[in-house]
Amino acid sequence: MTLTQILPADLNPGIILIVAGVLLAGLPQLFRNLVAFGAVIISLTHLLAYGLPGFEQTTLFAQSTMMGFETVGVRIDKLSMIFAIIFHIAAMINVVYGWQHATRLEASMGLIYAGAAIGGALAGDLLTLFVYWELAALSSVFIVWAGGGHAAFKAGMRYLVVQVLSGLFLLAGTVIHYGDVGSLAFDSFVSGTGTFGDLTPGAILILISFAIKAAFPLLHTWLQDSYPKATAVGAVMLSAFTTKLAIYTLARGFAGLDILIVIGCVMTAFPVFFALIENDLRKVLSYSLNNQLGFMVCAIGIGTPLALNGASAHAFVHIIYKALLFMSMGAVMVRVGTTKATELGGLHKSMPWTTIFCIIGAMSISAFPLFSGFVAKSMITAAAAKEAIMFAYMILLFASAGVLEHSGIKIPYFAFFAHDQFAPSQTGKPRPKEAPTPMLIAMGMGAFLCIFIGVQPQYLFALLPYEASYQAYTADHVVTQMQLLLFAILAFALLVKFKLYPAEIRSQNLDVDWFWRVPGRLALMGVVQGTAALWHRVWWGLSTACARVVDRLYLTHGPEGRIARTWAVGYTALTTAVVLGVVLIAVYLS
Amino acid sequence: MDHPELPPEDQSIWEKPGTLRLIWIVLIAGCVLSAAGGFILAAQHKMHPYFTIDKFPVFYGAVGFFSFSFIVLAGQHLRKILMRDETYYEGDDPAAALDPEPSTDPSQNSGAGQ
Repeated sequence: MTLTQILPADLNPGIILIVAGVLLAGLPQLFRNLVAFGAVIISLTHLLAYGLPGFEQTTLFAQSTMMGFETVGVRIDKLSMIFAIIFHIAAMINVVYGWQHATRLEASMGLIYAGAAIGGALAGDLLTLFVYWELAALSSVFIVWAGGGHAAFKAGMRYLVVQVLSGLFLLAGTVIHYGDVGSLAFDSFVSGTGTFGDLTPGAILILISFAIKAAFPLLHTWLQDSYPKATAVGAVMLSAFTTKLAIYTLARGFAGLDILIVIGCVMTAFPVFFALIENDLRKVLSYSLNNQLGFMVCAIGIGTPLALNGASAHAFVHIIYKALLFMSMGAVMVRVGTTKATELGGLHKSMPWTTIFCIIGAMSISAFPLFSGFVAKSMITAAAAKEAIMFAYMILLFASAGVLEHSGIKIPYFAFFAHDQFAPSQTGKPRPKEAPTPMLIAMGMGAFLCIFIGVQPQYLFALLPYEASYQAYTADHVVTQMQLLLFAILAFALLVKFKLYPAEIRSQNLDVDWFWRVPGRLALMGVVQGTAALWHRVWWGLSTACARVVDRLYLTHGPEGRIARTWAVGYTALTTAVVLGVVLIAVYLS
Repeated sequence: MDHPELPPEDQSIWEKPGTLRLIWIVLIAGCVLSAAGGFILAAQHKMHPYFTIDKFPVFYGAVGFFSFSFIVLAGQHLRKILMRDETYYEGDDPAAALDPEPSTDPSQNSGAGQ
């Protein structure tokens, strides 16, 4: 079935959401929800009306020349399409999840943010991408700030600095790239060899820009710093767009770049250790997000059609199950007021639906057969194996066990099971209530998609951008995956039984952002104080010099000065005659 | 931290000793079955190993068990280096003292719509 294009094909579907997001700011809550819901439906319908493109089929719309630069507002191909579709699904889940709890600011900025991500995924040139890139940054920072309090404000400021910096790298890279090739077209920057050394300076700057938003190692802390400080609704919104837009741009521009394999492996491995010792479960999910991005980055580095399909499929399913996990923690946040593991436990007794949805998300991210993660993640590991990249394959397996630890077990175990913190016999208070209905509906939508994609992967596979055959459900694949997961769970059970699993502790764990939050801050304060001291010295010098000049002028021009004294009439007449004489001589000579 | 024993009326089915025993049985049975599946598929030449190392029929089980154990046993020592007090970053910030503690009242944290 094909849809008829009613809206102009030149209209980027993201703009529909951006305009609706602006309108939302002035509407009461019910109309806000209805308009947001309608806008996502209209935008998705408009997108689907372009039709699903075939392999290597690209259609361009909204081509124009602006100040001599050729821009392409809409590019429809399979890669842009799959990301635009999943961004719409995420936007829809966000609207439903925030039906009751999204503030005016969150509802408005959330929709603009989704629109910017969709616009970016469909942008056909670097300048258009830059506009959406920055709009995504600016709209999302309000969602961080909506978390409220000084900590959220400061995290938002750090987030803004990093995101704008990413935009500046993109702009600088675009300018240099345009100078090199004379085109703004956003295509692959990778040469045939696929080595980092062959990248042009412009391409390197653009890669840095994408790397910041994709939370590469050492550039990652904005994610764990900001997402847990957003509200229950805000964190769900944030989890979907920025990083996956970056994954899309990496897949578009840097597929097959060898260095991404190593970076992706590091990304999958290091967050599992941070997630283990983290007490705030939403921060655990943020580290988990980083780990999942590593799978995608590694796949993009491998760069084969199967690997790129794996990256796209993984981004698609990851947005859903990560949102589902953030939604379940958001529901806990709403009902209990915290997501710290030390304060939680036993919630399955009063929040059974939230528990079930969280477990579905956990099983999906852990890649259990019949859940969405299984059909996507396995594509990436298979691609690494088929290219005989053994170190990547082994690290991805190791990271898969790590995913099970922090997202598959830790999140549901400490929030909903473990030690019951809410037993009425202990607290004297009734247990927390089940999540509000709109949140349950949104979680239900996410859970349904996790299972549906896991059971019927062919619908997801039909959206994948490259031609590559892959069979998810083979006997050996199911058996090996079940081995990995069940033996890892056995390890967990034994570690708990022998009290070797670390207890949760209320703490702040340092990450690389310590370097700019502590010594960096001190250095900055030192520079500020040094500048202030220098300015005081300069100001003192100028003031003193001015005072001396005034004093000297006062000596000559003051009431007691020579200039101010009474002149005799004869002396005045003589002076006048001399001046006139000089003028006469000058006139005569001229 | 020790937690007090819950009275029976506060225990759910997932906390009953019988259920926990059943979970252990199911888990061990699952491990045995998946390991047996590996051996059976290997005997039928249906395992399709990519490298030499994964020819071992319980290779993935071993990877899962030892990776998980390593992450937990080694990872917790990171706390010795990285763990600080919860208010570490707010400690030297005079503005933070003006910011009230986050409320534990759910109605205060719900971000209710306006």
